[in-house]
Amino acid sequence: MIFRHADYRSERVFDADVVVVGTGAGGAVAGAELAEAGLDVIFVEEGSYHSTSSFSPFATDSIPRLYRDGSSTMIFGKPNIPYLEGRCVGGSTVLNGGMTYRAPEQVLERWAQTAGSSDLGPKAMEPLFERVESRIHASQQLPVSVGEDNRLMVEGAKKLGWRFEINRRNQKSCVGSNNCIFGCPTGAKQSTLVSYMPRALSAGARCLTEVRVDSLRIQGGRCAGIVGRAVDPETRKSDIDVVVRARATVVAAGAVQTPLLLLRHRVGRPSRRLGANFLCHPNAKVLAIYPFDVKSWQGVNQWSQIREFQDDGIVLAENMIAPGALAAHISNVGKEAWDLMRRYNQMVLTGALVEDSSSGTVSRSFGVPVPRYSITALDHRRFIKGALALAELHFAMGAEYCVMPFVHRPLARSMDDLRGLDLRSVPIDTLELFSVHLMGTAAMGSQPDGSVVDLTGQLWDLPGCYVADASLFPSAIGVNPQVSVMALATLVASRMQDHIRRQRVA
Amino acid sequence: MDARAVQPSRDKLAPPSMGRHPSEGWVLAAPYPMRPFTRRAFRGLIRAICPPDPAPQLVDLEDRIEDHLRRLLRYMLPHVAFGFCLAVIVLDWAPIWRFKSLRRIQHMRREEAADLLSALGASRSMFLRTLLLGVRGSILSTYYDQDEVHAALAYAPVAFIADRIDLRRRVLREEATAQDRSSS
Repeated sequence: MIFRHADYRSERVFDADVVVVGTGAGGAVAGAELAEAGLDVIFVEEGSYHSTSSFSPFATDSIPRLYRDGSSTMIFGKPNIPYLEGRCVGGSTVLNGGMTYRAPEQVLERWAQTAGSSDLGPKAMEPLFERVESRIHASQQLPVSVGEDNRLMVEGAKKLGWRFEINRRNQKSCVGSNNCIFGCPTGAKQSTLVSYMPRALSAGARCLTEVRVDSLRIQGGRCAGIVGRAVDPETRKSDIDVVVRARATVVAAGAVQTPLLLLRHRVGRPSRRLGANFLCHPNAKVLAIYPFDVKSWQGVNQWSQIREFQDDGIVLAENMIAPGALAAHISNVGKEAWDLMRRYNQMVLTGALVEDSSSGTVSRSFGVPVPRYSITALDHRRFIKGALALAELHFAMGAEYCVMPFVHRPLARSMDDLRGLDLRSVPIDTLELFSVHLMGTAAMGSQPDGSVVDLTGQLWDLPGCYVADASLFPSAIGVNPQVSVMALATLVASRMQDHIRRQRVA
Repeated sequence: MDARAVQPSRDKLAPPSMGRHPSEGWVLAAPYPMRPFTRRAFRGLIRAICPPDPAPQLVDLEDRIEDHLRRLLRYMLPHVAFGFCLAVIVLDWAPIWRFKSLRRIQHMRREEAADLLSALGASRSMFLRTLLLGVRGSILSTYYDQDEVHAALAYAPVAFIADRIDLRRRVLREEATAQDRSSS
């Protein structure tokens, strides 16, 4: 059953075995696993419930409905990096590209080493990945869904002799409507909205939407639920107190909001690592204009990834978006903006994802999160390398010009225009980056002095409070994190069940 | 519990309306309060940032963009929404504090104002670029999301998605038939 703002006028206090904060890749999975195991679960979601049939291709409609803070979120540093997160039932899984890459084996080995336990190693994680992948239908695309921009990328990689991989995505008969970032209107993308949440609700879970969690209920040194406030949809003001009393609380609000909530209670003290280790896989985009129509908006959002530079921590991919979303990221105004945008049908939008070589922090200031992150000289070099590689591919495929992510060198008509680019000619604060993969602020580990939560996902210094989202990552993974988040949430849920059953008996 | 509470069905395939503002019970926020002084500055920026002819010139363009963005401000953190309004005023005065003109953006010719904002977008100062980023991005995003602009770009997502929904239904039917055959 799903509750909305109007419902809290009559019912404000709820009881459950487990309250789960968030319904994205972490929360929905943990909650569904617990509900199916017979526990009484309540989800608390700040956003609203929007069904598949309500999704549209319009940015002006979708952004206020689906995105956190109307997509005005920013990481501060050198350079400043805008980032995007979902705020709706299904969280960011409703808006993402649907990649289902597992964390690479060497990353899992590193995690096992950092966490001091083989529980996070490749062997232990294998069954968790399998379970998640079968539930979200991780599979390759149907040929009918492949568009021209997808083909251009693969043909370009073949022409240059670069390694590439055809993506597996969480989709069931996706036909490439390319509306991933505003919610899949065909129901093909298996976001948690259409995969895990229906499972949880069928098993009796309840979902309180339009409630922002302000604090945890702490009684006798244990976490005993949450205290939140319902947000009036018209004024956006918090006006009704909502309390959920529970034996256990799962915080799965993402790598920015999770530490924000926990920092209010001064937990995470043994290691002082709560909010530290903030990772964000920054992306640089290269927009290519071809002399012919590509119509990139017809066909799957991402079909392949170029892995030629993966050893350097760089992954390349296409990712076309609607003009309303694309226009928010261009650097021109007036006539110049029109001269670029009028060729929308000839555009191919691509990105270079760089694996973090350092980390930032998320702190709490006057009740709001302050993410800070600056890229290193190594990342700087890798962004230039990744952007040049994308330009090379586009020119090899006949692009007329490329719009580069460099403020002072935005246009390139051939590779000659890009020769001699180095760290000096592209200063670090003139890179144009963005991020959609936020991770690592409540790392999992086996020692209280090096991690925020233990290997069950429970906070070292707050029994009854668990974390089950991308905050758990001990390090960056270099690929899309969705499936790894879901696998860790499955792990946390399985371990929580024993704790709660023991409590019930006691 | 209120009668509006809903129970979603698994993998629902109801035909999407795909229209703007689907009637699903969700309420769009009321416009954020903005003083006349800020509104005039905001409208000046909308004129300067939106493209001139031959791009589509909409009669009520400023109303549409102002209305949408004032509603969007409600979804932002209060200090971000306040900062947005402050940025609007600071940008309106940019010609003066950049020593480029004695007139504010709202009183300048459209091309002149656009040139000044373009130069600001390529400034060496990351602070100035960030100041412009949010205002420019939100105005352009709204402009390029209008039906008339979509038509001028030959971008027709509603028809395309409707077509794809039909295609997916056919694919699902074929998959089900193939599965039945293989099981029998």
